[in-house]
Amino acid sequence: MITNVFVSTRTVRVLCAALLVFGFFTTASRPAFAAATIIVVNNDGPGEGFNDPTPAAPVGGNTGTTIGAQRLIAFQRAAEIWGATLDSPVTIIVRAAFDPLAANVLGSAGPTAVFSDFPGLGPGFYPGAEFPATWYVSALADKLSGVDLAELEGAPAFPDISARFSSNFNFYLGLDNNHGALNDLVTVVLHELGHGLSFLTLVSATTGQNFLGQTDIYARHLVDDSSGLHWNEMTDAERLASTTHFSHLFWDGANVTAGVPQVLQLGNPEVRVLAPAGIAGLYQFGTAAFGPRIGNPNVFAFVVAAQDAADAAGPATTDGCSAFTNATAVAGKIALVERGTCGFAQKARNATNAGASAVIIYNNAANVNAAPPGMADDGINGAFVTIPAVSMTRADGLSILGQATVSATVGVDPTVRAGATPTDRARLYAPFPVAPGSSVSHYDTAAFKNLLMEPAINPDLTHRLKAPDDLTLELLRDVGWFADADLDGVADEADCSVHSNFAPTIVIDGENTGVANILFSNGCTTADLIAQIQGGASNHGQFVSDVSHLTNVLKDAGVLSNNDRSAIQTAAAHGN
Amino acid sequence: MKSTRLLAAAVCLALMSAWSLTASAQDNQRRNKKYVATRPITVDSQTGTLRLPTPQETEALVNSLIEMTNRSTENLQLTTLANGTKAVNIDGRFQSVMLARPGEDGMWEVRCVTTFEEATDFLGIVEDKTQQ
Repeated sequence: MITNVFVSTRTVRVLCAALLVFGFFTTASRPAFAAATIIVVNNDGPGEGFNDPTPAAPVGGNTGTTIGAQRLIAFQRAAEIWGATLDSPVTIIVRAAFDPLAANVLGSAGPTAVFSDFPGLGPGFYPGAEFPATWYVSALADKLSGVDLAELEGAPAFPDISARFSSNFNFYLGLDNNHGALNDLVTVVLHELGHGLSFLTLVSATTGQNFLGQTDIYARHLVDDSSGLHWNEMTDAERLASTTHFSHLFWDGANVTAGVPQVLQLGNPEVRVLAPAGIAGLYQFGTAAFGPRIGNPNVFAFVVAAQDAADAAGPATTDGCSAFTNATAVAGKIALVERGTCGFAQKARNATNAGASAVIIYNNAANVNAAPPGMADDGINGAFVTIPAVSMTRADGLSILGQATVSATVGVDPTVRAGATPTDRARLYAPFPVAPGSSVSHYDTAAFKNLLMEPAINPDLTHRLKAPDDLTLELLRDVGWFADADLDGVADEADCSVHSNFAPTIVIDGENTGVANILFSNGCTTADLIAQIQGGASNHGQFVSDVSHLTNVLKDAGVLSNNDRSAIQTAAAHGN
Repeated sequence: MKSTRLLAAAVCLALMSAWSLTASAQDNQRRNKKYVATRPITVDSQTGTLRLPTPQETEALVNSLIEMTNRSTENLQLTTLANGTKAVNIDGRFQSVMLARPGEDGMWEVRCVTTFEEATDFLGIVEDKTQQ
């Protein structure tokens, strides 16, 4: 494709002068395709994993005839989706296997190496590392340097990502995302490859220390709004505190921020204490797999501690396992119930029966340091719960209990997008205390639409990675996966020609000049410039004149020889 | 191009030399502890019903989680090349681990974790302090 832009003689001079400031590069070894190639290396032995010969019927567009073949096809589909989404001149190698992993373990994946302080090395204008003393995962470092940093001629290629998945688990192996009650392998692999492609920090979640004394490119975009500092600007102690700073950690990258309004819907779920002032504010909470969604309806009410009999159903008068004895006081209020003995749904059903408008279940002593749990249904009581139910830490529950009167809301803030800050910055998941998926390498669980890179694999996820469906690509763009359709190392947004002509020699109207085609640092080749002149010229005379000016400038700058200039000008004069 | 090859060779050698992993002190501490499951996360192969994992199953699961959530930097080798590039092989560490726990309704809840603490919290596995 040729950008149809008129290039005047004066513009040619200015353009050439600018080009020559930054240098140029021969196009002889340029690839002529975009996107990224991702190779899945089957690391399984005969008869197992990807090579499992167990016959299988085709499912959801997966035409493999064995379990092993279907696993490989589904895995490759995820790799293809990523490959079509990213641009890299370097093949990304994923070493993958299906093994009989421990029960409850579906799989794992991650980068195999990290690099820092690498220059641009590839044929083109690859920028190298954007920041010094900053770690980049292997695949991203390769993209930014333009070469495979771990390449060794004659030796086996070194993988960029390692992945293992469970051969014991019954994944949905179709390609159509029609997974029903099963877990979709393509989605799970998309998520795990996302981590391997740089959706992760290397900072220690237990000490706050940087990896080997250097920050990483992901951490550079993490901001704690209580201090306004990026993670790379913090002390270890500050980073450690930020790791569990619920609702205060957000992503400041421009691409994600631009994508938030397209993806995340207005209506951020929240539990907020309104009074007394001493404990007022947003509280961390867990959600329930039963009852109405938070905000359906919004509840504004006083909080009342539920009382029930200490009986066989539950030995404490605070556990809410029996019918509430203070139902009159609870009616119309937010019931506060202690976790333990009976199931969450049983407690919420009893709160419903007492006429509560919502229920908060706080952790019991056995879970004194645990995060607010996600509350599962017991398959019996959940169907009878008609009020919003949330969970809370024990510390927060006791804090509310310690007040004479507490008013609160359990609902959604219609002015804030789900999973974002009030200023439309995507939040990272940082609950206190540590909870599954809390190592800040995920988006906040409150995000809605649900996002691929939340810690939970939600059943409504699509196989799409970018806005308006998702924000995964946007985050990877922010860490350095810039769009580069012609793989010249110049980001599309700054590229003089997004789809450059990389022919080794300059051809004008079918006449091969034999002159080497040069790539300039703004992303245009000599052939691109001539094509732009051709596209913008109002007649043949103007085209010849502008080409003459261009080649004179290039000759004066030493890019072209006299013979080169003559050959190009002659071909231009011959053309129509 | 020659310099690129030399760089690549040096990086690859550095990566290969750091291939073998060594368990961290923290991992060893975890391995020396006893753990117990507090929620039914195992589907019994005989009955198809949910139950607590046996002590042996719990130990196997914990050992697997320790290995998969290894984020130690112990014995990692940092190599600096002539052009300033630094490289570290982290193969097998800093993995993101996808876990699943069954619900009463037969559905599996899936969660991605990166640390041992997150993993055990999700699966309801706690240190067995009665064994100390």
